[in-house]
Amino acid sequence: MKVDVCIIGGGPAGIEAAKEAKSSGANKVVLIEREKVLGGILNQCIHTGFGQRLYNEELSGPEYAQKIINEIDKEIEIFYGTYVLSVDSNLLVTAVSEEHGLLEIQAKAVVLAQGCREKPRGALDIAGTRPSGIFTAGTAQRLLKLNGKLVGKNIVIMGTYDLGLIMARRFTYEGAKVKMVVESRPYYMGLSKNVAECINDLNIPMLLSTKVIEVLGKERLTGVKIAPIDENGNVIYEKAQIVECDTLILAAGLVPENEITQNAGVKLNFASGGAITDQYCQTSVKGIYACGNVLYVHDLADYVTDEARIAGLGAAKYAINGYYHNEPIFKVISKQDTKYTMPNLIRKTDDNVKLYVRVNKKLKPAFICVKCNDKVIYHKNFNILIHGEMQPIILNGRDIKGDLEIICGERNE
Amino acid sequence: MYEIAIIGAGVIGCSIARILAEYDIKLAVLEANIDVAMGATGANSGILHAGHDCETGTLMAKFNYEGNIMFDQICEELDVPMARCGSLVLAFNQEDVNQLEILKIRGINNGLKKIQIIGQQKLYELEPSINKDAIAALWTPTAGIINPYELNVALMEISQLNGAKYYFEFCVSDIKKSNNDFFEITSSSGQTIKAKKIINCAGVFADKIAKMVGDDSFSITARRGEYIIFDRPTPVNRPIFQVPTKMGKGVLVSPTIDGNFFIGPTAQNIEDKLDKSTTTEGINVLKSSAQKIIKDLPYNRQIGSFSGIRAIPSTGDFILGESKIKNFYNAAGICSPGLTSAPAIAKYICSLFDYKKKKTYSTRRKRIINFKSASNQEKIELIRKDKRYSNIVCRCEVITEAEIIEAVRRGARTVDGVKRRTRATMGRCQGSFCTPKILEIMSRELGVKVEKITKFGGNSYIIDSDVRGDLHES
Ligand SMILES: Cc1cc2nc3c(=O)[nH]c(=O)nc-3n(C[C@H](O)[C@H](O)[C@H](O)COP(=O)(O)OP(=O)(O)OC[C@H]3O[C@@H](n4cnc5c(N)ncnc54)[C@H](O)[C@@H]3O)c2cc1C
Repeated sequence: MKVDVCIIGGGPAGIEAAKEAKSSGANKVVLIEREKVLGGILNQCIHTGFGQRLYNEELSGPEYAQKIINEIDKEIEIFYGTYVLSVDSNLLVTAVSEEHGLLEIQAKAVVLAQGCREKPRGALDIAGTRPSGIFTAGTAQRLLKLNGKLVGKNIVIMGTYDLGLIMARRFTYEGAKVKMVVESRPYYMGLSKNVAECINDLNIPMLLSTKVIEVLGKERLTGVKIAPIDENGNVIYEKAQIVECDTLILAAGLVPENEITQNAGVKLNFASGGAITDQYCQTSVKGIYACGNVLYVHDLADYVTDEARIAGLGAAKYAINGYYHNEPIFKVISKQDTKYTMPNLIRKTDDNVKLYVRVNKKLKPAFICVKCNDKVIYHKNFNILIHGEMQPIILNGRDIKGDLEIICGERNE
Repeated sequence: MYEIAIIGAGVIGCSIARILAEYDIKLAVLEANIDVAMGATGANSGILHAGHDCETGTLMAKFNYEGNIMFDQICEELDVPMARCGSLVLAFNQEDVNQLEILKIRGINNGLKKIQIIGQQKLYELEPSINKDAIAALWTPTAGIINPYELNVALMEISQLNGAKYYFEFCVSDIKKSNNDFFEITSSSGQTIKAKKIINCAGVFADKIAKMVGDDSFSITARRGEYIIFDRPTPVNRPIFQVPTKMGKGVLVSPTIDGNFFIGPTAQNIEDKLDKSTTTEGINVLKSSAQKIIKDLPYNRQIGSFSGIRAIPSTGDFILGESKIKNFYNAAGICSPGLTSAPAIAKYICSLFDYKKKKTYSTRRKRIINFKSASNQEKIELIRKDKRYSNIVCRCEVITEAEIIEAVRRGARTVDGVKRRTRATMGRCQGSFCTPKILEIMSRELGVKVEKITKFGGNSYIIDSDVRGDLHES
């Protein structure tokens, strides 16, 4: 099959990119989703808070997904239950599905929008044995939703991302005992609304600045060892205690999915774990664009929408007449307390450039300073900056004449 | 009545079973766990050592050298991937270089022909990513890498094909020698089998087994090694060692045959021989020693940590052959380089018997077809033959339903069993996505409820119960 634009992933990023590519003039646009439904991570987000900007409404994830799905142009071909095996540097997409068997799709441009996945135990440096009974919140949720199965009776939840909070409530409703939620940071990561409704209302203890330092049990999990963390981030081992439980649920963050990205030869960013792109969502491979959580974990669906439109537009223009931004390129270097900045590359432009900055710890009060050729081109103070929320900043493109240094830090009052 | 009972289905027990199954005798393999490769063989470095580490004249040195050579044929016959990528030992100062000289001479004395010390230029050509402080290295092109549990499974399958009978969850707890000159072997659950001869391949517990018949000539200490494993791609092309110390070959960085890479192992003696924990201290030791080989390891691509347990013999060398108890043989104290030595050890042990070969037996076995590595044409063929090849179950490793079913058909009874046979759950999400699907497939294929399926046997159940059913997703 020959297509103009092939979009991989049917979450909010992929859907928006497909729409944009189509409305920007790309003729044949296909959208490939491995699940049997579109919506991606939105289907997990059963709390409200979506759609304020697009629809001026307070919607839950699935409701929001349904709205954006309804708007998809009928001419966009959607492959459900289809798994992309690879994208090569000639933009040949190979996929497989039960319905179609092996599919070879020659695209003129590709948008990567595979989203992200949860961090498993192995990525979290938890010492101890290797028993059964450790699940990510998403796995436990799938087992409940799809299979009608409960993973355990006595549960400890590690991490405070939303899905973990929601699962705490769900487990309780199903008759399991959620003994506690522990979070290594001094603040929680999920929405306050979820903490109130899923944790506080059900009287589930939430221990901040507390770390799971070891798991116990030779066959099934029998408990976890937890210990407090002091202000400097050091674990106070003398105060460790054992909490008996048969299940540990991990809600400790997400990482971009990047097998396909990597195998396509796209360069990755070390800190975010996603592809390196410029402000036009162009990756290091010509004709391959990336947007959404596959780039880095976004906090707000709105940011994803913005980015997906840029990617969809770029892919359409490239597919139609090979239009490619090849203005001189500058690096965006993260300094001091900046964890990473997206995009990681900026092409010379006279337009405004929007960057998203993530800090590596809570800064209160805080500043963001941007330097170009040792000259300060942006400086702004903030009451607080936290790791869990990226801060957008807008730079004047004319000021960008060389590599950028993004410096975040705490202000001395 | 069995002619021979092998105790322990690790790489040693199964290597021996592979040869003995070709003989015209009744053969049993008794294994405490629910599957093969759950002892030292399931968690080690997977390196086919060239043979410069062991003291010349020891059994270790002899069998390491001989075993290494035998792998080309074995891997070809059993369809087990192996790479002769060679290995490097790095030197950072003159003292290290002197050590390399000693290793080189030892290697030559042990039989190695292709072993040389190379300078910086050649070293960085071979390994561009390593620490530029290394000044020289010992280069042995005959070292290799292999997936040890895949080998272990293959050895079991070929021996089963030729008639060996495996008893899993048979933890030998007592052995009686009857007057009629056979052994009565009892498991902890009360099952009994009879055999004329016993070969003790029980890994860290080989001393315990030997004592059951009255052989107390050795003891085994458990020495744990912790690892961190990383996602693809690997920054190194072959195992890279540092100069060895008294406790072993030290922390190394190595690719796996599947394209991931790891750092490890540590070396710590432990009391509880089954304690496969990882520890904060161990992981810290690993990180700081691996840094010598490669600076800035990508810890954000870390996908797991695990540990393996070495069986260190009190005698300082492999314990091989008939014990003072007639018809009771040991293949014990098989610490590193035991994996490399396994084929040679097996050949030696079997040379102590004098049986006739069966009229017909197979020497070849095929691995489970891997959809991911098939060409597009082959993929189309596979799907045409079996539609279940088009259902991707494990996303990270791209493993299909057909492969999972084949693993179950070949004897996987646990999720880890499926993992060891297919790599499903081994990718960067570590089974978060595919575990529910694997459980479903296993439950269907084995005809048991998902609640009964375990991660690795015993009480390692995964699902607790059905949901109450009176609530729906809010
Ligand atoms: C950390 C580490 C790194 C290593 N790296 C390498 C390497 O790179 N290269 C190399 O060549 N070698 C290496 N080795 C050594 C190699 O792994 C071992 O020598 C080899 O796997 C030993 O195999 P085995 O069959 O003797 O033991 P095991 O694999 O431990 O098998 C013994 C079996 O006996 C069973 N058993 C025990 N007691 C009973 C009982 N009472 N009843 C029934 N069954 C019983 C156990 O369950 C087990 O399955 C390493 C080892 C470790 C631990």
